[in-house]
Amino acid sequence: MKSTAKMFCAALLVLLGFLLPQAAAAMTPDEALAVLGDRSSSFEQKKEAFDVIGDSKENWSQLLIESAQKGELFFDKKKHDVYAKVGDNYFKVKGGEAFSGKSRDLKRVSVNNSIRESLHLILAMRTLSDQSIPEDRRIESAHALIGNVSQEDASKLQLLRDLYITTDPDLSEMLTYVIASADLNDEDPKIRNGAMHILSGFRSPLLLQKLGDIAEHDADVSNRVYAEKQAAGLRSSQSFYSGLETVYFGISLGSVLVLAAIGLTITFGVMGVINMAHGELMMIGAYTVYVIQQCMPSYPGLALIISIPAAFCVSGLTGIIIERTVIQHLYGRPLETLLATFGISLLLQQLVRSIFTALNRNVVIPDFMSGAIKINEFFSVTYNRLYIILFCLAVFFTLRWILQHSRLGLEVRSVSQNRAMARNMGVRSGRVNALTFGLGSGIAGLAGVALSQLTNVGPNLGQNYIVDSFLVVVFGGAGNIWGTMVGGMVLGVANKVLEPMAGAMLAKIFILVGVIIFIQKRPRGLFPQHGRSVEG
Amino acid sequence: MVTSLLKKDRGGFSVLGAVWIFVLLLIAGNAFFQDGSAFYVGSNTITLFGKYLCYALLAVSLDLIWGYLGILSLGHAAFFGLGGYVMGMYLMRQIGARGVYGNPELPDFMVFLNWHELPWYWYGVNHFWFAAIMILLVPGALAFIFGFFAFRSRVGGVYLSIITQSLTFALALAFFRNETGFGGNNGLTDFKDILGFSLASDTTRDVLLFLSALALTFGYLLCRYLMRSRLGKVTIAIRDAESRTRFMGYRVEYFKLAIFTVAAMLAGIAGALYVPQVGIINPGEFNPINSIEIVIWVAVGGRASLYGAIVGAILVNYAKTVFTGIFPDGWLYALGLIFVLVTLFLPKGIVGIIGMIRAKRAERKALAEADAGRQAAAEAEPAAAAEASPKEA
Amino acid sequence: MEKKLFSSFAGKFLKKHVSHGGEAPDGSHGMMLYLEGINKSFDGFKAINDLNLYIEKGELRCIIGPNGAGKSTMMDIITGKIRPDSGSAWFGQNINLLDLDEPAIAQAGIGRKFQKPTVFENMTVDENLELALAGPKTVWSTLRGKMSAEDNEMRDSVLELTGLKDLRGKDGRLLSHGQKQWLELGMLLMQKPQLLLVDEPVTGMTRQEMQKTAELLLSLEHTHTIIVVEHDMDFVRSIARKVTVLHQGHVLAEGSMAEVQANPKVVEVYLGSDAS
Repeated sequence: MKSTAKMFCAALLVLLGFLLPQAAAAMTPDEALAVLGDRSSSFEQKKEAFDVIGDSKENWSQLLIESAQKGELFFDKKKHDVYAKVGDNYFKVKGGEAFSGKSRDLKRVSVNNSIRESLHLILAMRTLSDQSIPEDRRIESAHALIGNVSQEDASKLQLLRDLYITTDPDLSEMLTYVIASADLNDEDPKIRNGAMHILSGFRSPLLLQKLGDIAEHDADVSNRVYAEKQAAGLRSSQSFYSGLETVYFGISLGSVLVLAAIGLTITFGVMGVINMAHGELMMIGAYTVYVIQQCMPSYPGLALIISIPAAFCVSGLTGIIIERTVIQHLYGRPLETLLATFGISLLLQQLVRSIFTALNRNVVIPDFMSGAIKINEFFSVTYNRLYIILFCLAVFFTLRWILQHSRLGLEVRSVSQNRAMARNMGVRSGRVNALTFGLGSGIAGLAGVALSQLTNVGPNLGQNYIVDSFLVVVFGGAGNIWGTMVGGMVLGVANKVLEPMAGAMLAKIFILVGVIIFIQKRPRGLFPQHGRSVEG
Repeated sequence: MVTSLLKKDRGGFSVLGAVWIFVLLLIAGNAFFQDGSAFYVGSNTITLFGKYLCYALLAVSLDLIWGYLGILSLGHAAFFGLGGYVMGMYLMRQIGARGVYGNPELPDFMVFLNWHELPWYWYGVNHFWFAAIMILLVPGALAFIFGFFAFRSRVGGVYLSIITQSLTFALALAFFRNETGFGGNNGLTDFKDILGFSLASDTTRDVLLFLSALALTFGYLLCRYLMRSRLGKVTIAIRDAESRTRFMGYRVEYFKLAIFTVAAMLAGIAGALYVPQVGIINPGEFNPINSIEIVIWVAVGGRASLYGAIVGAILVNYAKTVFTGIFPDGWLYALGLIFVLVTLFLPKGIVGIIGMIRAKRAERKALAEADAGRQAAAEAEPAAAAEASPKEA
Repeated sequence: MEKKLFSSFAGKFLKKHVSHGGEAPDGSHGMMLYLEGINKSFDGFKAINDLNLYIEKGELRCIIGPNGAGKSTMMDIITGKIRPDSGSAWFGQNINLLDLDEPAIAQAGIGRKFQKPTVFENMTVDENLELALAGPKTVWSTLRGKMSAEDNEMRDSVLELTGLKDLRGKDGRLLSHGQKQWLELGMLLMQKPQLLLVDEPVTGMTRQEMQKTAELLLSLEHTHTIIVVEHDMDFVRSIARKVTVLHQGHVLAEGSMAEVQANPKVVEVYLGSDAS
């Protein structure tokens, strides 16, 4: 059995073309092209044609296969030439001339599922066999084949594996897994067993599924037992990594909450002002990103980076205006402040609706924000969440530094601890209030920049986060930025842990109820502000 | 007792009197005149005014806890919504087999969701008496449980405000879900009749308007009775100096709990009367913004003045109707400005303005008298006359 | 175990929420207030440090001490506002103050006048006194509460005593500082407490008013137990029988005014600096 397979393999070498350019195939690439340009060709013929082209080293073969896989391969009904669609234009596959005839003469080259699968395999094979492609991309390509190839196709890979064993050992190892994954379907229980042994060092959800199948249906008892054991190991590793992922998601959600709440903490803790317009200041920050991206449409990434200081300034200035016109007349009357700032939030929302309409605006997510670092099959770290976490930490520690080490920070702390005394010492509390409020509002703007990358930018953006950020402040203890940090992270993680168990909405409700109960025990939050002035 | 309560209450007497005259005129115009007559009142106007009166009752109940007890609840609409939902459930069950799916037991949305039996909490609401009790009990129980924990742990001020907001937010989330069994996003609607009377008929609408006015009067008098008793004085004492009240031996949390629960029940009644008139109840009622709007009605009318709350609720909602008709986008601007301007310049609301005008008039009168006195005294002692004029506004 | 937990919880709950005000303090052994080994610290700062204080029934005790000596904290502990870290506090033989909260302690018969006079600003003098009136203070009883002829008599006599008769219809916020002080004293009397805690009663008063206050307090002596905290040494001298000096949350000296003034430790920490 094995020897026949090997012989078969050797025969396939011929098909693989890259070793023996002059393939002794039934069709030449040009003939294959003609098959594809002929509407009367059957699917079998087309499949063969694609195989031939896939194995050929013609300079147009890659374009043809890729276009076919995307469903963008056309042929001219009259002249039987084959065209690839690139953008909105059609180019002749062989030769590259643009299509000049009437577009109704073009017809899509129809394919069926079996052809689609083989196209997928052909592309992978081409990537694998092209040594000019970086190894990690080839490994990725091989990875995608695991569990997805028939034994017959896998056998084509064996040579590649042997070829790469010294030059690209990692790729070679991955190919071993691919082949073993195909061998799981072998008739011989020993080969299946061997494949399982080989795959014991590998993690993948697909493999887990496969092992589950074997554990239940395999004819061989020892295989069933072994598969069950392997599957159990995989399952526990999967649940470990999914737990890790939950924590990661939770921390990233927590970072968003911290960003949203930390500005509130400052204005509430230092000035005793509940700013209901805080959410709208975040909204302004998010719209700043949108406007700047509109100004420089070709550089969305740069625009995002410029937006960070810009949003800080726009929201901060708005905050200072609010403080000077309204809030400064209401100090010592927290409930009135709450109402007035709520009115301001309505005004800002409506203003945004008047300028940008009520529709959500489309903020471009730059390339560096998308993608992920793949740790293993069960766990990958997405960049956008990672950047949000880093951004949150950066904002947090900058703010901490400002409060601890700058003149403004000193004044802010003195005013928050004893307003009258600070005034006597020559601190102009009016100026400090305006700047503190500006600082808190500016941070809201930064939170808006982060949110623009995660959710829709629309007039309701602020409202959706305001209740959550208040909860964080109440939970962490007003006025304590460490409290906000811990509070935000705890609520973020708790939310993500509860979500899969109870659904997103119930999770939210649980959190709300949980915080309400927590407040029973500690009415001033996790880290209450100290001092006599707080009492009574 | 009613007359004794309204004695010495010129403001309340005139406001309630005006409301009743208006209500009776509207009902007469709707019931005795035909379309086309100059005196005819359309059924939409009837419903609209009925809605205002429900809002007025809601405002009175909020004034009880904000104006007199000093608790700024940002979740008061939750109790209004719960009362409304109980009424909505009753009306839903009254539809019976006349729904789109013709299921005699299950409301349409449950059939649509493939449910096979009624959830337990829908039992009984098909009886009006049971629904009527629940209209009081459900908001009352929630207020009691919430208040018990919140007041016991002495959560107060803005913290409490935020938590009440979270409460209504949580309810909004819960009622939005289809699984909770309250019609999800669409809420409860397509009502047919109440106690066998068609909701579409003018007579039913007239009666509902009348009942709303009655409920408002009852709510007003109840609140006034409470606030004029020694209990009312304790309530104000708690608002002004909570810990002092405690050191006098009053168990502050129980007083808060009692007032809070009564206010929630009144809000529930308002919600229950509101739903048959507008014909729908959905989770949007629990939206935190609705609760804050109630606060602004009270602020506009005048905090800690029960009839001021009625005036504020009717005025602001009338303005909303007019505004959204002429200039739809403008309403939120207007509302936002009202919030800011009232808190900045009108801390005592419209009632405060009236009080100021009255005080001015009294002052002018006193001045005139002083002038007359001065002329009579013929420059004998001008300094003394100037001193006699009151400085206190 | 579980049952015991439950019963202890239930017992505490009942004591706190149901049986308040039911017991009168038992001062038959001659002692009205025992504070023993009380400690309380805020964020590491020891406000009260092993405080021991015994007040006899019918005694008028003055407590003096520099700022931060722990006088207010001590008052807070007696009235239930603050819970001590350790120690015990008994009202008479039978009432454990640490089991009760503020309203229960007030109902048990301890009245307090605050350092900063707090009267109800939006209520008339009459209403202020009515609210302070001794008697059941549950929700239901206040809803039905009416001034009986007896109550009115009592109020009139308090108005007479405090000299507020002409102001009885005036709102609290319109009173002068001294008048507020008197009103608060009046409210204290309406409460009919066994033990009066009077925190700085004469701030903002004229010499004459001060003397009147002294007379009032002296007239209450023997029938009530009184603790006075005051800064004004002349006033203390005019009423004091026995003086306790607090320093850093601890009793530094106790005795007659003359004894205390002669105590070198007291002179050093307090009177010394005051005299110089």
